[in-house]
Amino acid sequence: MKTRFYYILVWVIGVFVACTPRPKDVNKLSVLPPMYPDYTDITVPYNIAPLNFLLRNDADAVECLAQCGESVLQLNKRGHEICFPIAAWKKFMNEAKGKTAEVKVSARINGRWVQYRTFKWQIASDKIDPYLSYRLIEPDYEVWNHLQLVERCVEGFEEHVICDHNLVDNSCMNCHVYGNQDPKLSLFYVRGKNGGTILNRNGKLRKLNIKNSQTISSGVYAGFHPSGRYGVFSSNIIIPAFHAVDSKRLEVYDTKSDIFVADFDRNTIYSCPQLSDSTVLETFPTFSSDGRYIYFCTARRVDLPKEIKRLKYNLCRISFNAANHTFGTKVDTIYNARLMGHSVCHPKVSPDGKWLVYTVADYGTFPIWHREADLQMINLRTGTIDKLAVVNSNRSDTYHSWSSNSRWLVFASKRDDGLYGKPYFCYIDRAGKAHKPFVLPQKYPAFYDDNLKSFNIPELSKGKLSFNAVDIERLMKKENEKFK
Amino acid sequence: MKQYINQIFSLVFGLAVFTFFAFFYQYHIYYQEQYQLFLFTGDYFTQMSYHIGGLAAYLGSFLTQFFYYPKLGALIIAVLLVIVQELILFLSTMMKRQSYWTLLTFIPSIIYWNMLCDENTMMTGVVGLIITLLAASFYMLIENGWTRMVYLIVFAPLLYVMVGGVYVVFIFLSIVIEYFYFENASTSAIIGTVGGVLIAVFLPYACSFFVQAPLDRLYLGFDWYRFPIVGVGFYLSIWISVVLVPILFVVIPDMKKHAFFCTTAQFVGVVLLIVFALYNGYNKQKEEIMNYDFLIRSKQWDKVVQKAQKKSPNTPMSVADLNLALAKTGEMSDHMFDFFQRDPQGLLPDFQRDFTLPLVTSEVYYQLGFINTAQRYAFEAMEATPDYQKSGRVLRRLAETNLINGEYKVAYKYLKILQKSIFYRKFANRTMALLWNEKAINADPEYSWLRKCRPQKDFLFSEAEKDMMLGTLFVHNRKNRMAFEYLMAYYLLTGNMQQFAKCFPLGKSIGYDHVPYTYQQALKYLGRQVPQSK
Repeated sequence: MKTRFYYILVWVIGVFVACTPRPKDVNKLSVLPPMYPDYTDITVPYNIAPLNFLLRNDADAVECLAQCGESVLQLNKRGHEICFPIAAWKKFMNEAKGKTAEVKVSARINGRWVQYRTFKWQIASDKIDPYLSYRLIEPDYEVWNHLQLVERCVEGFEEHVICDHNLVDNSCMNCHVYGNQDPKLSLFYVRGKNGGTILNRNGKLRKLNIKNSQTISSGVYAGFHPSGRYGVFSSNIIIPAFHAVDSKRLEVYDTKSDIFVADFDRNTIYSCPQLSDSTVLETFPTFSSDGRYIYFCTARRVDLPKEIKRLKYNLCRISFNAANHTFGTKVDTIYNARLMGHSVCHPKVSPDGKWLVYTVADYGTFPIWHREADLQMINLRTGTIDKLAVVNSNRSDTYHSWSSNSRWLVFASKRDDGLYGKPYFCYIDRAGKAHKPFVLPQKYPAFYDDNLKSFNIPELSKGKLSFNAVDIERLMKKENEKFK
Repeated sequence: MKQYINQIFSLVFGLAVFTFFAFFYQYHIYYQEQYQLFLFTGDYFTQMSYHIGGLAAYLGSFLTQFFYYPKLGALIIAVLLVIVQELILFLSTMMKRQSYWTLLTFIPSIIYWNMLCDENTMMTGVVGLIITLLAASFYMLIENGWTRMVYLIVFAPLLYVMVGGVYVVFIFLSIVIEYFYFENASTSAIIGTVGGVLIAVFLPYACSFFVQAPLDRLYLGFDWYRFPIVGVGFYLSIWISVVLVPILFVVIPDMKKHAFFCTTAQFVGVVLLIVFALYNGYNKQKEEIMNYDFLIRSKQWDKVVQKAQKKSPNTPMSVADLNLALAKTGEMSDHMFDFFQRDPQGLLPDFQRDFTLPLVTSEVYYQLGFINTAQRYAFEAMEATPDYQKSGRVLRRLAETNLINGEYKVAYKYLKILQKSIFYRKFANRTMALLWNEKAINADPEYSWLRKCRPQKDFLFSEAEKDMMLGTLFVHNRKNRMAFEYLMAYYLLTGNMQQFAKCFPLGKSIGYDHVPYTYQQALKYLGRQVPQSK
């Protein structure tokens, strides 16, 4: 009986093997494969999910062979898609950690096999934080639909919803941000009647009304102090406007904005005249990695919307003393918009304190809708600026954040079609050199073709969040904690 | 003849339903189709069916795509309502073979007919109900009491996953069948009853710990109505009637001696119920508006004007449709005041966070050449769709606006999606050939004209200054007759005669062969305002 079973097993396997096309009489080409997503010549963390891809041609069979020393990962498939088995992928990536793999892709087109130019995967031994949160939203104008905050494991494909607008009275929500990339320290803001800032701190969820008589609005853009006790927020009056010509769609600007610090232990708001000057707009605050400075963007008020193109933000910083929650008296300008000709948004300091990455656009304060928006990185010790040419595209690249080890950067890029933002990862090596970015892998490589959502504010985290959308639904029924 | 009487009644009922939807309510059918896009992809199936009641929603969406052809849609509705009635008839007659109350089985279908007169009632509910009734019919065919008990307890949760809250109908029908048809009060029946009731009461609650959805919707169901919030009565009216009819069959005594009276009374009752259902459900005004929208969408400009000549439209939406048609047929400057005009809202309605009006406004902006604004309104309409479905009509428009704007990658994305549908595939294939092909686009009369009309110099669109926007558009292309006529109409409707007089000479570039009648009247009026020199 056993023999009969093995006979059948061998026969079945034989049939499958025989059915899987393998290259023969291969014609070698000097071009790279027309693969989507573009995973050619990239640096990836060893713990990333399988880089599944498809070929944008008429291939009816594909072979992918990745080789790194003795380690081999080979997959032969009918059709034009390659989806690696997760166990084999993980084994290969662990073996190839810190090394470079050569990848050969062959395809059968109209009955003939071709082999494309070999490319490389540099498999970094620097781990990427395993979880990524983002807001899934259509690239809409004013009306939004089916809005969700989602957490995705980047080592695999599991996703879970951390806030769903269906469960929060159909209210809109701002993006989710972490402190220290710690899953036990994060916040986001839910708008609407019962809305408030949802603070996740040390495993406890709180709903806060971070607003007092002095603040313009509740917190909009936020960043955590490394201690987790303080959060720095901007309060903004945000106005949308709509462009009339083809390449532009939406413009969003602030008519008022200030910055304040909130103490989560004492439910108290602190600010200073330098951060709440009514003649200038202050926004995008973030703490330095040691918590001694607040970096922020500031622009002189102009006549809006008429002079929108003259609205350019400087990058500045002010000192902050967490012991007695006082601010410095001097504001340093790190990037002068008038001299450099660009407007700065979204400064983010690397956790090791060496680098600061920000977005530059021609003008304004909403770079995700600015095609020219690019990332730049400043060395905080020397002040030198890296324009990150290898990272940027001719479409919007912004909404960036760091991994906890300061080796990986994640950002939203519209490089594919100019409209739908996707999370891209970029390796920053020890010397501060940026490597070619790659998009978040998906289980089905055609996912991005059919997907009609943008991934906003992608942020990495060292672990999984301890709450889900149902916890937020319950929390929304509670009263807000007030601030003074 | 007598033995086929039930089938004849069903056939007549089906024909009545078909006739109503095919000839008196066809634009409601067409309207339904445009707010969804069924795709033949595994992803679409997963996305639709990966929630409670997902299978019914998927099948409902599958059927709704055929509403692209209203007569086919009417046929589908008629067949489904007859199936509902036939299944209830099957359950009822199985419980009591000799009955003179068979026409009662039409009640749930008539209630559903009434519900389907509301353009926001989705097909999910009918499909879910049919699956539920099939499950209950299968219960009736199981001879062994213990097998039935196991089937009830095991299948009810599965059915819940497939069809949503309507699964309670299966549970209560099974209990009714157990006691009235099998007349079984043994241990298996008691366990089945208690288990069934517990499942009915607690399953959605238990699911609320695992499924991220509001509790009321877990109990009632998803996708039965376009809006997420709908009264419990909407569901209960149909559910209770479905369970009640087989019970009435058994409970009401037979009136064998008065069979003729009994059947006649039922027939009259059913007819009255239908009359009441349609009187209550039929919305002539909405059908009119949808008719205008259909004609605009299919660019039948002449038919819009002909229709308005019979009865002048009076809602902002249909007046906007009429004005667009007048402009497209070259009649606006002569005849716009032959029809009811209220204010500039009938020209370019203001933006509303709604899924209907912005679609009409988008059509107007598109034809004017405000491509970005047309795109915005279309996009917003799709975003405002309460059940989060994508719209075939909107995706088509977005593919066009992106094509005109030269955003070929975005247009490609939308066209690739449309290629996976049945009724938009042809358009998608045809338009796909235009991408990155400037020569082909310039040879297309509509796209090339709109490319010439759209603004070239950037400005921020201001809804509060529509005249400024129209003026800017016309100055960019002085052959854009529609922009000029909308500008003049705007001044006439706002009573800004000074601006009218100032802009009137600009019309020279249009090349009118006469001074348009409306403008003549306005000029006469202006002439009277100027003091006569002695």
